[in-house]
Amino acid sequence: MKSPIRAEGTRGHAARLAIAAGLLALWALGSGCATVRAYQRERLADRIMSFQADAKEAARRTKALEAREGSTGGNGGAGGGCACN
Amino acid sequence: MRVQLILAGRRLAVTACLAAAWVVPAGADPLPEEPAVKSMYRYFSDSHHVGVRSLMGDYTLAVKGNAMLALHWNNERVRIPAIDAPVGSPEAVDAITTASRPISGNAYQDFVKTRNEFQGELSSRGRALEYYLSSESDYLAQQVAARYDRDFQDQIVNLAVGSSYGWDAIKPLADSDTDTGHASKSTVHWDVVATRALTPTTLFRVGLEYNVVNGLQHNPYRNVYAGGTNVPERHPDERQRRDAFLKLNQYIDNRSSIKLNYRLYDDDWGIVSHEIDTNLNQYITQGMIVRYDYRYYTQTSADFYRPEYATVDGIGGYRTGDYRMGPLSSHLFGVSLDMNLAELGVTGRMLNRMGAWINYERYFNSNNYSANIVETALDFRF
Amino acid sequence: MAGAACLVAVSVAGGRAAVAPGPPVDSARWVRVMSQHPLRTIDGRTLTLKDLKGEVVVVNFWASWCGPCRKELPRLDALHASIAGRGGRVIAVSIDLDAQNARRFVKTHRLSLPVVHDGPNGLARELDLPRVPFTVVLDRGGAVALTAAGADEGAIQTIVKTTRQLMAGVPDEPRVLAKGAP
Repeated sequence: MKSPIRAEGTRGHAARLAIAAGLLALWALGSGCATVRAYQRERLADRIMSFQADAKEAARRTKALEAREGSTGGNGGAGGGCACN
Repeated sequence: MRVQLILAGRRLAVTACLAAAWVVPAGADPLPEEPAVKSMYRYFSDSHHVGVRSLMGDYTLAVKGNAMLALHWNNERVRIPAIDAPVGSPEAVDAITTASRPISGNAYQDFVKTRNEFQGELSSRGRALEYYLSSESDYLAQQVAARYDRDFQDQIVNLAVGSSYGWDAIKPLADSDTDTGHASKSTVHWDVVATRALTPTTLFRVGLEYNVVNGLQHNPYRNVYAGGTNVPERHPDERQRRDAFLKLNQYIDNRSSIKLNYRLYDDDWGIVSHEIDTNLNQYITQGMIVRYDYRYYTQTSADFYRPEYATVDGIGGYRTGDYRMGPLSSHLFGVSLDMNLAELGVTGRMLNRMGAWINYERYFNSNNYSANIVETALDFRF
Repeated sequence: MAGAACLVAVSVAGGRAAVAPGPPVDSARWVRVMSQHPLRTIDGRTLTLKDLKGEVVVVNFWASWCGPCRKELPRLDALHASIAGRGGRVIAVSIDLDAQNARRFVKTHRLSLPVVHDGPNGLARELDLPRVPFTVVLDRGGAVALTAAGADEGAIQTIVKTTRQLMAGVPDEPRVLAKGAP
């Protein structure tokens, strides 16, 4: 059975969340941003800049913190890219 | 009937996503993981004297056709101390695994539980399929997942989509207070993540996640004091969980980077949370990286949460003794050291393929709860 | 919501070739710039490509931070060993910021091919290198016979095949090799 207490408010909040994230994504992905050339990506490929290096650690921490707190997520799936081919 | 149809529809959608993500043409060819073996030891102890020892192994190998197979296993041993409280009162639960304990005649001695976890992932050119299993005496969790990512704009931008379906079988151990017989829970998940290189020293990521959880979502061993008596805890059977996150990684001169993460979460139980996480990574020397970490978290309470319930019915038929349903804030501080022996100048055929890592975290929240986490790991690349 | 998510997944994934073709290069300009640009090897010697006219030269732009480059370079080292002294050579041009990173990689993998450190602001910037790794095969006349972006098996085999054909005197039309093309 669903929680009967929350209905419209939650849906509105979720919609605002999605819109905000979508706008941010459009801004980040917009072609107006300067292009980073292939030979300029050394810093981006450094271990200390990696999202992947953090992903497993973040997943372990999320699992531990889910037992302590009421929310979850924030890791997404794997992203990638932004390095050489 | 309507709920069953909706659930079947969601399962079908996830299955279709899983299949589609694998059969479509290959996408991004990301930096391949190197074949490696890694072992990790973790020890968790908290202010309630709960201790969790984890032994983990990871094995990554290249398979035919530019694919990688990653295997992960984890053996965890949870020790929950004896309870110094009457039967039926809120008991010590919680561990990294959310393992809980039955209240019985043995409540006054330590409770030990073992959990085994296995995960396998096959990935190739931006596509990945994953299977996960977790098994303990009263809980069996399984999950299949798929994801796909692709580069755009000359590898400046990466878009990733993921989906998973999890199904849990819950068989509470025999207990005079156990309310629930065999039960189940299912979780359907989707996520979309976009990553972009903003400048030669800046990476940005934004993501959206959506989960629908159906089934048993309260602790079958826990009672709640409501209306003057102890009654079993009861949460809604369905929960829709959503979050959006932003991540920014910025390289700083002097071989450092700072990472800023923000997550906004909400669900249809009424919980809204904010999480801010930041870490500073610094090369001490080539091959040695130190990382400082700080995380702040705050959440509101679930709509049916009350510190005390006036009637047995609780709020709308729901009642909880779970502090995670209440308002909460927390802090976490961490420091870690990551070493690559080859880059440190260590010679030797075996040693120069190895790495070592040690991490310490200190966590405390507004419920007067604190925990220490220590992790060490060794990896070997071949 | 489920349907929308699926549509996103499939539309993002499908409808395009798995591999995007590499951008074409201005061969004449590339040859002119590369011929005159002095290159300093990691062991301190200086050379220019115009001095190597008459040889088949494989110029590979790479970086120690680039995973596919790290996998490809040992293969090109083997190619160099088979053609060096017989009218051909492979030159690896490192675009690492720090030459030490290139030296460390060469030493760890015991590479024998000539390695030049030019950094990201030398030839790479002048030519606006489109990808990393990027390989240019020059025929005995110094003209571009092949360019290849990427380090997948198909690209490596084509580089090797084209080089051997040029060494054997088999005429070949200049080609731009997309990543993964046969």
